[in-house]
Amino acid sequence: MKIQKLLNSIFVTSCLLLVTWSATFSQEGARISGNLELNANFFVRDSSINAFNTPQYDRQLYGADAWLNMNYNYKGFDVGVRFDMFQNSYLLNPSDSYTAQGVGNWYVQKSINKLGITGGYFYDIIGSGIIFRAYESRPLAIDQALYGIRLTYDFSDNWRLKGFTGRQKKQFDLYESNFRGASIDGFVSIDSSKVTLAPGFGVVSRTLDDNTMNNLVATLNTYRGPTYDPNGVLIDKGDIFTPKYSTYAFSVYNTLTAGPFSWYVEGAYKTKDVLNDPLEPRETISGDTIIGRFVQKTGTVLYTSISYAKNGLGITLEGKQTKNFDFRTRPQAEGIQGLVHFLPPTTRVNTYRMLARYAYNIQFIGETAVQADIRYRFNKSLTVNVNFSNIGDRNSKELYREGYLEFYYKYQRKWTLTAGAQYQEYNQDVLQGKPGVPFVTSFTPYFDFLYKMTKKNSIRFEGQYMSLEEVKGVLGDYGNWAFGLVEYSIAPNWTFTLSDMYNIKPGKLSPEDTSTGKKEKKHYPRFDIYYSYKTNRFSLSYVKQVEGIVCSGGICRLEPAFSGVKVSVNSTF
Amino acid sequence: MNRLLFFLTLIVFSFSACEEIPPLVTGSTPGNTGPTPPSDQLRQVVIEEFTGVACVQCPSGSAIIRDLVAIHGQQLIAISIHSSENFSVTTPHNQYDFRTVEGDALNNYLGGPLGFPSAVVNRKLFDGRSSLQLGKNEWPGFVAEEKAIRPKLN
Repeated sequence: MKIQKLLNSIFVTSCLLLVTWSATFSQEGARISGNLELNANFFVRDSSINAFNTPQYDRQLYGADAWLNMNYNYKGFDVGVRFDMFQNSYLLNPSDSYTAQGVGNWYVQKSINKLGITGGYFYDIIGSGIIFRAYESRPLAIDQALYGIRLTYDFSDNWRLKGFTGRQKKQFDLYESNFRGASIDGFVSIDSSKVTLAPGFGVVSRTLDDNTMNNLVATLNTYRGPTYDPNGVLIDKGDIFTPKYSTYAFSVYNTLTAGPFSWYVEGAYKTKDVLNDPLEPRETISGDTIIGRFVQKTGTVLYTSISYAKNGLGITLEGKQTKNFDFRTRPQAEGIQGLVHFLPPTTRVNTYRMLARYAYNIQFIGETAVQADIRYRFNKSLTVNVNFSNIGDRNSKELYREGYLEFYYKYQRKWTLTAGAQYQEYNQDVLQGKPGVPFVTSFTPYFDFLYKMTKKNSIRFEGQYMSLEEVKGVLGDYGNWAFGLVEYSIAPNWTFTLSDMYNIKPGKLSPEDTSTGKKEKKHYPRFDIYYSYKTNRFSLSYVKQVEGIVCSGGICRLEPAFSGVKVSVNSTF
Repeated sequence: MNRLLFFLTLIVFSFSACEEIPPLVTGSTPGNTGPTPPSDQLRQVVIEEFTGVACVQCPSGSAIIRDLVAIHGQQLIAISIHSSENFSVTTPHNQYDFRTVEGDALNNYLGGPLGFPSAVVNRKLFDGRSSLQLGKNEWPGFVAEEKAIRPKLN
């Protein structure tokens, strides 16, 4: 660890020297670019909305997260370094505080004829990411960068071979397991027709480190072992198994394009791997039965997406079947920690506040999902979008269902109206890990109206009403919501937003008034000021936010309530 | 094309490793474990579990702790603390609130758990972990790891 820190320091110093040197001699063709993202939070304790009992609300009162990235490019030679900072941060664990800072990423990259060499931390993907995706998602503190070496070789303009080896990043440390992988990607154009193919094949292997294996074996040694009858004949093999150090995942994929049609298909297979099955029962040696244990199984994913786009009509059909495809650096890692891959989401990505409240959370252990999305542009003014998705678990038990309808109408350049409704069925028990809670069934009509007063000034209104279906006379979760927003923009610099989420009919989990013991109809207001100047953007927000889930590409996490002030700075240079 | 074949062969060989020598997994059976006499003790391990009466997964946590005590005997000191805001409240089925000021303070001091049940083993931040709090699948492994360390004094 000390050596790694030393190497990081040497690298940063070298980068700074290089930048200084390049600035001094101003090499022709050299380019320096970068960006900054800074978010500061000032916490104001509010026990009435459950924004309390964490170190930030109780004593720290302040926190900040920042990423400063800088890249230097000269004659096919690239170097980059990123400074990461977490001060009293709740991103890693929303109910805890995390403080650390240092070099979060550095890399060197050079192309030598047809060979590309990358060393350091790198992000990459094979196919759609089903067997391997090293990526970053800052709102969830996901940084799955691989720390190692990557080589690429271009056989021709259309065929590329890629190989890499390394270990996965874990904040300012590394997971101990090793990874190696390779893929070949091509592009084939069939001359006589408009048909093109983009086939590919990839393989990734992970070898567990000794510490992880010893820990796993110690856990398995507490499981019930085999039992024999007096003659030594096996009666029951128990819950134990012999774990594999190495797991291999393979994937074959192709995109076929023919005129307005595009068809992507990918099939992936994973050899025996240890995973935590949350529904598998086991009997303890004391005779209790508990749910959830380690198992060792092979895994598969089949994923396909067909789309058609012509003359104002766009249709996309998607299907995915997952079986035991939880692939992690160590099987003990839970939630969104230690994942080395990514399964494409097969639900609509909703952006309106209430519509995104019950977002679907991808289930790596097993799911069968279908989605259809149809968009039709009747004329220059009117567009209609219909979306449907349905997801079941491995035993075909329903997890999620959504129906969505949206009209978009544009009147000259004066105003636009977006209006529609969403219907959702959401298995909160499984998707938010709240055992025993009933299904959430919601219906949410909404509108978004934008009016341009002058070329520079515009005003926008949003309204949403979410109503939940009562189960046995009880309104579940937080009940019904009304949401309103007004946004005034003075282009190109200023935007002011005022919104309120009002718990109009409180549900079972809504906070209670301590004096009366009754469920409170709480307001969750938010006020934002955004200022943009060229490539800089500043924001100041006062926020009261209810507990909910935060998602990024189908990967979700439960986030507690927030109360306080947020300041952010984004800059690109 | 030959170069492509060469590289493909190289990839295939780099992934076809020899047969693994597997670790030894024995499992446990009732009756083959018991308390360890103090004279044979090597190291005491403390596990502090955070639990709650209304938490559905928490009985599993208690069962795992019971097993660990059965396996490690007196070498393991297990403490269960009721400290969850959501899972410790009184309900029509449960009229007792087992929370204590000390328990809540400990929960806060040791970093809030991501979910319940959760436990801290020897209050140690293990390699590759970002929090002291461990999910129930991690307890047996870290308890065994800590127990295996030779004590500085005996």
